[in-house]
Amino acid sequence: MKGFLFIICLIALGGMFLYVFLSPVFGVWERKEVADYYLDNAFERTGSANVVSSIVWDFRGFDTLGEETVLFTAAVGVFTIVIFGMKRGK
Amino acid sequence: MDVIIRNVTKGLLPFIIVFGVYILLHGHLTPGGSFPGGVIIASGVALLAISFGLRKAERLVKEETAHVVEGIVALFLVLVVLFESFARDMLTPTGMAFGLWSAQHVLLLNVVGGVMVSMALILIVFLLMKE
Amino acid sequence: MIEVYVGMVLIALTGMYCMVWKKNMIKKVIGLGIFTNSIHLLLIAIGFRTNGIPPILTQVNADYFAMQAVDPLPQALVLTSIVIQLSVTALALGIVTLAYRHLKTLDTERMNRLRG
Repeated sequence: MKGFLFIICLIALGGMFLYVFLSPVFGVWERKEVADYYLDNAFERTGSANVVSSIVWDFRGFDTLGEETVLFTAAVGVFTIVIFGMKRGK
Repeated sequence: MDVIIRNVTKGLLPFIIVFGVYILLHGHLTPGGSFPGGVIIASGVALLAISFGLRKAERLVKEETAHVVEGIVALFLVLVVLFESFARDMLTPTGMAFGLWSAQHVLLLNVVGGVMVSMALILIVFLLMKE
Repeated sequence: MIEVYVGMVLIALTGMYCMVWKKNMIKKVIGLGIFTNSIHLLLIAIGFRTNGIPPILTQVNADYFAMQAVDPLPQALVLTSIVIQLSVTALALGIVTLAYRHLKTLDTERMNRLRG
């Protein structure tokens, strides 16, 4: 009974997703302002041939800084959990 | 662990680390960069820890070394990114285009970020396997 | 292009089903990873261009690079998001390890009946 209701909710959610993502036409665009600026100016300003690397480290460097903070916090968090578990076991 | 896994790891580990360093260093020319390169290096060390036990893997990278290196590199990365946003004129790219020594600050940041990611992942794997 | 979005919805529904219905803690963590990966697939599929080339500038395609390259911005955002998913999975597995050492079980039905 509970499983049947859950499957119906999942199918309703999938239907809502499909209704939203199938109505516009993706894949054909002539001009996007942000993407065209990055594709034109990445090689002159940074000298790197990989546009994604120059976006990640040069144009949007602060996002990468925040993500390194998250990674560092996860390592410190796992260390705290393991030390707490060892102290509690005594 | 198993005999097959031990022999395969013994023969394959240098190639895994060299491949990871290659993806790290060519981050400004081919797809890749710091995050896939760091993950591949950490996967090689994790393979060593799983197949041979934690004691033998500690002879390659000690756990305290990973702690200290990760802290220093995190501080260095913060300073480089903050410095780069204020002094853009000093970091113009020199060197041959499409060569290895072009786009200096993307190359430097790739190496620094790759060291940080690999040390953080090695630390997480060693801590979850303890005892 | 319609197959990519239908596939993304199916993967997301599978991830949600694993997170809610399974009783093993590790299977729930795997379901979280599956769901996050389906969202990454959606983000990259939005920036696609018909007959597109990857956004790597070489000496061969310097003329028609700006006309035919796919959108590089969602790829940069997904690169950040993959590392964040890794951090969340690492912390979740740390908590599962701590819970297993203290409660000696990985079953959520049996965890509900324990007291203290």
